[in-house]
Amino acid sequence: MTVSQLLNQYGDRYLQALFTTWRLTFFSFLGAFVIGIVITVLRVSPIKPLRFFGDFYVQIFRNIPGAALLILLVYALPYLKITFPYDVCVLIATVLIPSAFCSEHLMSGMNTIHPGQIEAARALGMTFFQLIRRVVIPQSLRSAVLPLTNLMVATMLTTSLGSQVPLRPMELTGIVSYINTRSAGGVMAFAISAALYCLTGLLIGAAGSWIDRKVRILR
Amino acid sequence: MTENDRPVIELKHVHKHFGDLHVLNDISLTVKKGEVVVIIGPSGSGKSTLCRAVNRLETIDSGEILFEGEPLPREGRKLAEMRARIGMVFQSFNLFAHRTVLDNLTIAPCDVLKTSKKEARQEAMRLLERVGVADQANKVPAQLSGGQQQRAAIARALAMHPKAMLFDEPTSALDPEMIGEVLNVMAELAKDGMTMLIVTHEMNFARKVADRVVFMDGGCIVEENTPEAFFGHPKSQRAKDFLSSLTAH
Ligand SMILES: Nc1ncnc2c1ncn2[C@@H]1O[C@H](COP(=O)(O)OP(=O)(O)OP(=O)(O)O)[C@@H](O)[C@H]1O
Ligand SMILES: [Mg+2]
Repeated sequence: MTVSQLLNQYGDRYLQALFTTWRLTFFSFLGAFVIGIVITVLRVSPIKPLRFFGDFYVQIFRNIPGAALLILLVYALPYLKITFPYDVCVLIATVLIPSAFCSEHLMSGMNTIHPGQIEAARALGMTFFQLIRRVVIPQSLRSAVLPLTNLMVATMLTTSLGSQVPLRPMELTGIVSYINTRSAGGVMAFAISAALYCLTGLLIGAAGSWIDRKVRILR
Repeated sequence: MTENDRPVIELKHVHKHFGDLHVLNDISLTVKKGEVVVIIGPSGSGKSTLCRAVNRLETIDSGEILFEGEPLPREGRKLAEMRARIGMVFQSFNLFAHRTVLDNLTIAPCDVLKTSKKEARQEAMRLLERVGVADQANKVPAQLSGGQQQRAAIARALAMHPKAMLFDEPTSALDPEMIGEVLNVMAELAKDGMTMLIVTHEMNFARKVADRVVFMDGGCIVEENTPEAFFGHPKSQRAKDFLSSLTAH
């Protein structure tokens, strides 16, 4: 089939799949971002077991393949009498893995903070949480905008895990199998999804660069 | 004992090691209310370590440090509360790079002292006025000269209404033409009765502003005297050597 035939027949489905990918990407990244910050705070906290837990968390989810995690969530958890809907399983997998990377980016962002500023905050009488909230996390975030932008793109690509379970509505990768089982869409069916992923990636990249320019710390 | 004889900072037989290095060796020192004590000594003699131990940025091995008569709490909220009463100015300014100069002065009062935002801003502007950088209030630190940053850093410490101020070589990172403006602010503070412990290599400043000069070498306090006596007639050979090494070039 040609691209225009495909778009004629499946245009709305592609659009719906694009929005599904966007929605998954948005919520996955949001979740990863929040959990990534919390894990990072644990990793620098004065309490050793919390630091250990944070490091352990990152090691686990940085090193587990997304597909393996999804299989665990979908097929293994029910044995423990825990069953999530498919979309929740996908969301959990696409939150946990990027959250580990988010924490890594924040840790390297933290390395750009001059230690003297931490001492200054302590000398002013700020508590651990005030120091984290006012100095450490804001500066780490601002220094990590570009890596976090890349992470968001990677998160978008990870949402293609949704094609491995019967997700409704389907996202951009799932839609390709759907079309190819009905019509002989062939490689063109992939090309359209690929183009939509690229477009989304470009938009995220542009937004990331814009934010980076706005918040970059003058040193 | 009158009000003014009350010790604000008191160190009693303080010892500290960095590995094998005995960096503070039986240090006893008292700074009374309104007193300006200048610490001088060769590089590596332990001046910074002493200064930083007073607000527990460095821990000590043994001995005792009291602030306003109370021992320094070891950690946590109590220590933070104590630190809030001790201003500190660093060699490298250490302003928060991501916030404006004004924000640098309001963050801690709002967070720690729970001052209202409006009040903190007014107080911050007054202080910036006082140290002569009010026109830089809305810039970020990197847009200021070193001298301006250090004056802002002094104002940031003052915004906490500290009972004493610690200075660790506040002018050593500055270009020569900016040293004066910072020393002037410090001299003003001294005149206004601030209790100050200052590590510096600025001998003229020490001579003019200090009530007492403490000479350190090898982790020990070797000599402690009025500036006239110390600079005029240093007692120890080490102090004589140190002073002549300064005038040699
Ligand atoms: N964190 C540390 N670990 C190990 N050794 C240290 C540490 N901090 C300082 N020292 C050593 O302790 C000694 C005293 O250091 P300190 O910074 O107090 O000296 P100082 O008198 O302030 O010198 P300067 O005039 O160069 O600033 C030095 O020999 C220094 O190398
Ligand atoms: Mg020093």
